[in-house]
Amino acid sequence: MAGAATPPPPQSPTSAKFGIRAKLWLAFVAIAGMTVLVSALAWATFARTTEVLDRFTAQRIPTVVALSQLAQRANALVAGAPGVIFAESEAELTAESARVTAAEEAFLTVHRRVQGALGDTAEVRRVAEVAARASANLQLLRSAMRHRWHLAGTQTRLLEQLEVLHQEYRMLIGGPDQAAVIPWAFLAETNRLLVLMAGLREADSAAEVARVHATIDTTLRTIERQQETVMPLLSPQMGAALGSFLHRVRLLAAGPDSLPALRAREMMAKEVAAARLEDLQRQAGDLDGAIATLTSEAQQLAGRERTAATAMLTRSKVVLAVVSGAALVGALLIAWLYVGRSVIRRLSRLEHSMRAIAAGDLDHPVPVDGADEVTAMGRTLTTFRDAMGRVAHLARHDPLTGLGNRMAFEAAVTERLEANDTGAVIYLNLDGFKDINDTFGHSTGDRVLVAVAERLRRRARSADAVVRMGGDDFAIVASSSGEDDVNIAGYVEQLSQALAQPVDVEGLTIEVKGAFGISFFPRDGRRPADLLSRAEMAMNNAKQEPVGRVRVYTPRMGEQQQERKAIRGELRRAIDDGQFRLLYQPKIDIASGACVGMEALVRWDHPQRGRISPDQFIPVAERSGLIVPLGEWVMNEACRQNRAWRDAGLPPLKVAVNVSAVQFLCQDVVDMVERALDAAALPPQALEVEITESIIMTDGAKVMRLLDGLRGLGVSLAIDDFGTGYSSLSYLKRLRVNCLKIDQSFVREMLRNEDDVRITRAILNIARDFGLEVVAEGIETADHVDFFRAEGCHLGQGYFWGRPMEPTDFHRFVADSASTEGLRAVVA
Amino acid sequence: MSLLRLGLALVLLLVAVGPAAAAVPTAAVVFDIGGKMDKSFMQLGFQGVLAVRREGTATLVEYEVGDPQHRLETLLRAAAENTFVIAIGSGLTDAVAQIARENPNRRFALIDGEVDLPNVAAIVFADQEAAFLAGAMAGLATRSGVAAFVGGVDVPPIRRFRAGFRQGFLTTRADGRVLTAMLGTESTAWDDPFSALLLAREQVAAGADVLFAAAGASGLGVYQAAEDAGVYAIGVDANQNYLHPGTMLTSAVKRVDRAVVVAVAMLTRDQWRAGPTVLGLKEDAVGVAFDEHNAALTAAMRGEIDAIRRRIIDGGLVVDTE
Repeated sequence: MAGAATPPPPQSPTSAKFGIRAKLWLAFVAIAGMTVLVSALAWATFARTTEVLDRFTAQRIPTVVALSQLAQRANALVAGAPGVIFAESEAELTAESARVTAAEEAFLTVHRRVQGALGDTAEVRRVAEVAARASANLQLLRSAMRHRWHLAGTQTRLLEQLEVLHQEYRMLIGGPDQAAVIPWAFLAETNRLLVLMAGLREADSAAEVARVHATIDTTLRTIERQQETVMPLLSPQMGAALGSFLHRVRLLAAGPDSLPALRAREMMAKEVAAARLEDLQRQAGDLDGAIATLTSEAQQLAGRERTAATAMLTRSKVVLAVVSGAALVGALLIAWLYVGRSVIRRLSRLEHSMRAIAAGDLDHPVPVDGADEVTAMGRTLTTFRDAMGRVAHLARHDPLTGLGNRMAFEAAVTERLEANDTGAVIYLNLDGFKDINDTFGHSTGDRVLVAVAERLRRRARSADAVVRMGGDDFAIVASSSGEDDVNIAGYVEQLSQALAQPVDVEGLTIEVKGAFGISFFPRDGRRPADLLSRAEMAMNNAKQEPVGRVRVYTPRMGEQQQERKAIRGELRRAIDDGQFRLLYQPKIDIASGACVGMEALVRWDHPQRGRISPDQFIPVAERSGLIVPLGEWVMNEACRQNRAWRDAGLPPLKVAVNVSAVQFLCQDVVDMVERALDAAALPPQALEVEITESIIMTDGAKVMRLLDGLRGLGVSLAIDDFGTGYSSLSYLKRLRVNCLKIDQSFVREMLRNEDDVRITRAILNIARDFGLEVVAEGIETADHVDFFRAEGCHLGQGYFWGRPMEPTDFHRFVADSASTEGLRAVVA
Repeated sequence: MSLLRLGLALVLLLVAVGPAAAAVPTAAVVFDIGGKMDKSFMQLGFQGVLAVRREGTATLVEYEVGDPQHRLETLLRAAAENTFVIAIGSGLTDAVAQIARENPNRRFALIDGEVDLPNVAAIVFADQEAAFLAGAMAGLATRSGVAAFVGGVDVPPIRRFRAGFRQGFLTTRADGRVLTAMLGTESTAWDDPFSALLLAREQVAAGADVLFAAAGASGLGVYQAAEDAGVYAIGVDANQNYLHPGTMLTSAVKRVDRAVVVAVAMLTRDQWRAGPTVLGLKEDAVGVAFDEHNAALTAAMRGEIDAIRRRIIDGGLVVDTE
């Protein structure tokens, strides 16, 4: 049984190194860590989002704004062209120029911002370069326009001079005489020149100006050629006037500052301005395109960043979700693994074990796996279970022998009955165990019990339960396939043989014998108590057997038991009502055949049951204490009867009265005897008190005192049934009896058994040595008489001479024997 | 993230507060005729102003002359309102001399002009060195063997350009010929692109196929004429290659922006040096521009130009100034 195992030392819960506390802490820390991780991730994502947002608001948006400003500034720059073209004065032109410069500076300022935002890329540089080219064109345009404006002004002055010359020319040809003198052709050429020069104003293309210029040159050269021939024809005044006129005409018509030259330069300036304006328009388009490219680039950049930010956020979301999920799964796993599987499941298993153990299943296993508080609980439960096991064991077992006790017996029987098994209850009681205890002490007695238990256990079949019912009572619950008396008998025989071996205790060799009673179940009962009492009953019956001390319960035994019960109930009334009578068996002097005394034997004549044997009621009386009044009555009656016989003239006889050991324990026997003698006025020599050897086993000192008292009265003492119990020679010495009665069992077997003969001879020799009278009981044949006579035994008692008889019969017997005594003596 | 940013901002604030405690000196910058958007000399000066502003070494107040007659007036106003005055352009030479003499408690830095006064630092460029390299390139690029030089006004820097250009051209084209012309005598010549265009046309008609203009904003006319005629042009002062890609052979660069930074340093820190300070190839303050817009530029040409450049820096080649 588990209780036999050494319980583990109790452990404090803190000794669990990696217990639930640590696991829970670990779980909490793990979950907290995961939460922190997730929070950190969320924080990082948030921070990155903010960063992207910051970059958007701080960089990308201003960049786009700057680009739109740049476009505005570029427009303002290019818009300078019309102002330059339509300027109407030098001051206006200068102001326009300053405005263009300011616009360009503003453009460059914004451009530097863009450069800072987008970097110094080729595209960014290109915008500045195109703008610079536009600005350069504007400057060139402005310069050309200024020149044109100047040239136009100069030409106007020259045309006024030309007008004056025209007047002079009319005056020249208008004079009455000059017209006839100056040739017509000359006048016509001069007129043509003046008209051509005036017509220069109308020529508005470089080619036309060049054609007119060439015609003017040709005409001038023709005039100069004709002047040679015309001059000599004129008067000196006329000649001087014409010379002056022609000189001024020449100044206007030829040279770098002449009207055609100025007009040509004006045309050139116009051309340059037109070309620059055209360029400007192209560059404005280029600038728009370049800025648009930049804008789209910036937008693309922003788009890419937005895409990247979205992707990053998506990634962050996924990571966050994955990590959160992982954290959740981790937390669940921890909860499941640590709390769920490791703790809850084991706790519920432990709880299951607790219930089972509480329900009485003391062999139920207790889970002690792992190394935490649950394990400690398991160990504690194990300890508790084992303690319960020990308690249960103690409750069901006899601490001395280790055998089961009455409870175990009941359990064993109940179990078999419930299983519908058949079997037997074998009851064993040791013979004379009380004597062993009294003689050798309780410790020796205990050792004998242990030895007996050991033998029974060893010899019993494994399926059988051997129990100690208390004292020297043992029982065996044996299973058998059927109510097989023979089998059980053989089994009991084996047990009996095992018992028969002497027991060695501390150098002593003690003979152990016992009586067995058997009851069968379910035949003899279905309750353990019934089966036990019936087996005990059978055992008690067996006890009364001299040999083959095994009995199987029969219903008859029950009846006897009932009878004993009835007897006990009726014993008191029987004493009061005088239902007892005394019979007397003569005690004969073997040598003479004369009756020298008698033994008083009590008989119970029950009004309904008839005569009841003393074997039946004496033990009952002893057990109930009624032996005291009964013994007193017997003593008084025996003394009274002896007195009566004396008074009737019979020779003085010694009456032997049995006094039970119980009486010695319960009352002052000396006083009782003395009163009886007094009451009958009988001399003490006429009374013999018979005691049994067992008397000494009770209270040695008290008994010795009472015996001394009896001897003091002069009453003689006899040991009854000598040789049956633990006859000890020392008793003879201690008890100092006068007479010794050899038990009838020796006498009865004597003629068949040599041992009995030797024992009898030995007893006789001892008695002789001690100077004791010897009475041989149970003399039934003449052979017995011859033997004892030959052995020198003086007295005898038995059917050979006479059965116990009624007082009247005894009176007659004594009277007859007295009369025949002389006759016999004569015959002898 | 935002915490980090906040911390960074705090640090920057602390750093910024330190220098701000010491007052940043203020200086006037006066631009001469042509204006700061002339794609050339003045615009480079303006970039120098922007560079100084980026560095934060000084607070610069801009003045523009606009009209030649306003030179004295503008300078006077600048000197009255500021301790330090930076004058950009050789056209301001006489005005600076006069105002500096009248205001000895003011310090002046004149860029591209020479005035001999104790309160005037004259920063001049070794223009001839840049022009020499440009001329050498022209000599390598020319087919007709005729190059033309268009100057603005006959002033010393322009003469240096002309001399260097001619010498350089003849170095790589010994049998070549250089046509030279000045646009005018007045400072208006710096801002007369139309006249320059007409002049350039004449030079092209005379056989020139490389035109070098050292005439301020007027150069724009020369480059336009070159593009119209399909010949090469060489820019001046700033890198003007981008103005006419495919036409511009290179640009003879004067790092006026660097001169402005140097001038600010001389005026506002303990680097004052009265008298002329010449910035040349050695100081990397002049040179020829190479970028994606150069026309007719070959690796061989570039190697040759680099070799000449090293020779000038080494002193192995001395460039004429007249």
